[in-house]
Formats: sequence, structure tokens, C-alpha cells
Amino acid sequence: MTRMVTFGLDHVLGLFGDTARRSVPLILTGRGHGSGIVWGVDGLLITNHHVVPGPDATVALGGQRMPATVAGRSPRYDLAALRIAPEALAALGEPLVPLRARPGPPRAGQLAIAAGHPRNSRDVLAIGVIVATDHSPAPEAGGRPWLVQTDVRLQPGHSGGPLLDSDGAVIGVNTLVLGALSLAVPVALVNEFVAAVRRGDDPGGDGDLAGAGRDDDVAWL
Amino acid sequence: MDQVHASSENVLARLSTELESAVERASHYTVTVYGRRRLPGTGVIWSEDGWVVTANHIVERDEDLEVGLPDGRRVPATLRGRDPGSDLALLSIEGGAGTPVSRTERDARPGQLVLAIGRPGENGAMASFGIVNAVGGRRAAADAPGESVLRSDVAMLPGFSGGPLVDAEGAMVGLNTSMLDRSGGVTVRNAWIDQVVGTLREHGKVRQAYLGIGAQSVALPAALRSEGEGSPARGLLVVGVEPDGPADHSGIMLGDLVLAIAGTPVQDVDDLQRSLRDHGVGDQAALDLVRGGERQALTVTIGERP
Repeated sequence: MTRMVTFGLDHVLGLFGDTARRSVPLILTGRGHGSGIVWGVDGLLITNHHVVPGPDATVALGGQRMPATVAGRSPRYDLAALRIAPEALAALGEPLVPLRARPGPPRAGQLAIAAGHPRNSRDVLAIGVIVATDHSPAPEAGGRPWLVQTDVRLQPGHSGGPLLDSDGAVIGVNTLVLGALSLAVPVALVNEFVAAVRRGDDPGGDGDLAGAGRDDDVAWL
Repeated sequence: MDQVHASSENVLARLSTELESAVERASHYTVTVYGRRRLPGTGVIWSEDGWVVTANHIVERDEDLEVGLPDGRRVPATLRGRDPGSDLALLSIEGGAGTPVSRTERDARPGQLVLAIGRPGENGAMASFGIVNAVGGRRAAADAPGESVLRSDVAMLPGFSGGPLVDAEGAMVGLNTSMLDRSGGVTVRNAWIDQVVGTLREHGKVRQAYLGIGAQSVALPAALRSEGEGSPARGLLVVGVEPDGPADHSGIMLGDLVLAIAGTPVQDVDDLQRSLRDHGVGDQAALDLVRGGERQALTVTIGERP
């Protein structure tokens, strides 16, 4: 017998808070901070390329700080993979809890929840909706049609953190803000990127998303 | 997140599905309006016979207008009228337009979940999400009915002007415009749209009451103030009279100090506009004024704004 339980909204949002604490690390570098996503139990984390300018970073998760090194980066898609040092991972005690990737593209109107560590806050959730179905580019997202558009109000420090659907699966990686629009790298690209990193390929690609069109109205998180 | 995933009755997932369906429903009556050189705007199919309501400010030209329908067709449109006061414009397209708008039957209330729908181009309907912040508030135009607008915190993304604000069922609450208020988007509620569309269909434009005076608010000399608290402290000094205008014909002169219209004090230009709103074109109204230090009464015939 399956017991049907209807959870209240506050309860469900509370679970998202747990997710943020367990699976959304704070990424610290000498140049500032950002957010990340626990991607594999082996210590693989995803964040934005622009969050980790150097070869290594410090990762804060579950009250512990751990050293991590950059395992691969794609300036074109503004993605970077970090690997937590094996001895730090072993000392963690509990296994990492990776987030699931949402299969298929999101649709306009679906709820989207950003989890991250903006400014000096920790484990911050922001809610909004997917603005456009699939790859319908907003006119001002010109040249970056692959980005997922949402109206979630992101702040600096959200960069590299997950955009989640209502089931807690990853829609994309929060990356930049254009006016009232927030843009995320879709999870399909993250999957490709991770596959390349695990194969040991250079996923770099040409072009540089993080450097493309730094208009006055573009805020990099 | 396994706990969330395991709960098939996750309220958030249900809400998400409902919002997605609301966008889908609204997308059937939300069209693209090509009326300016830059980014196109959005419009709403108002009736089965092909009337489309949009925001006046996105219709920058009077001809060569086109409407992009939800099924992908792009058809020529004719401008049927404009009302800058409500920032509404009425277009018509030949041969019907498909699904007309479905309108909300509920009264808008602060806190209600809403979505702004836009279709600024050929890539499908777009949406942003928020809640109603306030119903009513400052009037955008003198002839607007009460609680004619509402405010919400939905993001007014580029090209969203002229599109519908919809409830969680996808039914239209009003029409979004970024033009009526500098502080952000405002939604013109359905009742005001009905009023404007009715007039535009009949006259091609909205008849606005008009006096043809330039006026500024001035402090009343002590001798002219009534006794008691709350009595008017200001009046309207006539600093210009349009030749051959309604005020000119009624005998209003430069330098007149207007105290009240139809018994209601007018202390500033907003008061005057509110007062005009209560009168129709062609109505007569009694004016209390001071001319050469003497109180006088004058009857004016309200004209129509040219």
C-alpha cells in the first residue's frame, strides 16, 4: 500500500532548504565567492568558469571546508568542474548527495527555484518561472540562445548554483542577469561538459561566454 | 531532494504544472503586434471577429501593421483607434483571429498569483510570474473608472507591453503596459478595456472632456479662504485660454481664479481632471471663481479634447 501524503508548501520549500545545505557548496577563491552543485559522489562539483579563475578553490559544504582543484573548464559555456581532494572527501564522514539532472527542456510557466549563496548570505532560495519554452531566445539574450531564461531574481554569489524544478532536479546552472531576466546554462550542456571532463577531453571549446558582450546591462553574478 | 521526488503530491509540482498550463491556455489568445521598428510587442485577441487589443505605445505607426498569430501566421492588421490615456490601441484583422480571450471571473485581490504573458516575436509565448501587489491606486487617466488599474511584481520583460496579465487558470485579469507609470509595469483591468474598446469601436477614439485652459495651482489669499479646518487652501489660476475653446466660449478669462467645479473644490490640476472625468462631453457645469477680487459663478459647456 502506498500512503499518499500531501505536503504543505512550507514543508516542500523546507526540503529545498535541505538540498541547498547538502548539495549546493559555497565556492571560495582569492577573488570572491560563488555557488556550486554536487554532481557526483566521487567529489565532482559543477560551477561557473567565471567563479573559479585559478587552478583551485576552497569548497564549503555541510559546515566543512575542503580544498578542491579545477578538473576542467569551458569558457564558451561558462562551466567549470571542481574535484574535492580525495583525503578531504574521505574525512567528510557522510557521502555526498548529488543533484539529479532534469530530463528534457523546461517549459514556459514552470516553477524554477535558484539555490545559492548570494552576497554574505547562505542557503538562499529564490523562486520564479521559466520565461520561455526550450530555446526561444529573448531578444536581448541574442547570441546566447542556449541559455535558459527565468524571472528568478538572482544576486551576485548565485553564480554556479543550481536552477531547480519543482521536484528538485537541476534545470541549469545560474550564470548571469540581463535586466529582469536571469539566465542559466541548461543541464543538457552540463551533462555533455561532465562527460567530456570524465573522459579527460578538453571541453574548453572556443569563444568565451563569460567575456561575450559585456554590455552595461549585463550583470555577471 | 529524494524526499521531494518521492512525494507525488508535492504541492510545488502541482503549482508548477498549473502555471505551465495557464501559460499554455493564455498563449492561444496572445499575439505578436508588429507596429514599431524595434522589438515587436504583444496583443490580445479580444473577440472572435478579429479585434485585437494592444498597448498604444508599441503601435508607433498607423499603417503597415501586422499581427503574428499563435498558429504562426502573420496577417495584416488595421488600426481602429487609440487611447493614449489608457495606453490602449485597437486593431482588427481580416477573417477572424481564432481563439478569443478568456477573462477572469474573479475580482483581483492583493496576493493573488499572476503571470504576465508576452509574445514579442516568433518564438512562442513567454511568461513571468508574481503576485498582485495592489488593486486600484493612482489613476492613469482622468476618465478611467474606479480601480481601473492594478500593480503586480511580475517582471515586465522587453516586448511584454500589450500582453495579458493572467490568473493561475490562464484567464485574463488585464492588459500590461510599461507606459502608464515610470516606476514599472501597470495592468489596465478588463473593465477599463471594455469601456475604451466600446468607445473606440464606436468613435475610433476616446472622447475626453476638455476645457481649453492652462491653469496652475496657487495659494488662496486669506480673505478668500473659508473658515474651519480642511477648507480649500488653494485654487486654480487660469494662465491660458485657448482661443475658440470651450472655456473661451463660456466666458472664462485669463487671470480668473477657479475655486470649484460643480461645487467640488479644485485645488490642483489633478482635481480639475478628476472633475472633468465626472462630466461627459457636452455637459454643463457650474464654476465658482474669483475675478478682480469678486466671487462669481459661471456656467461652462464641457468640450471634447481635440
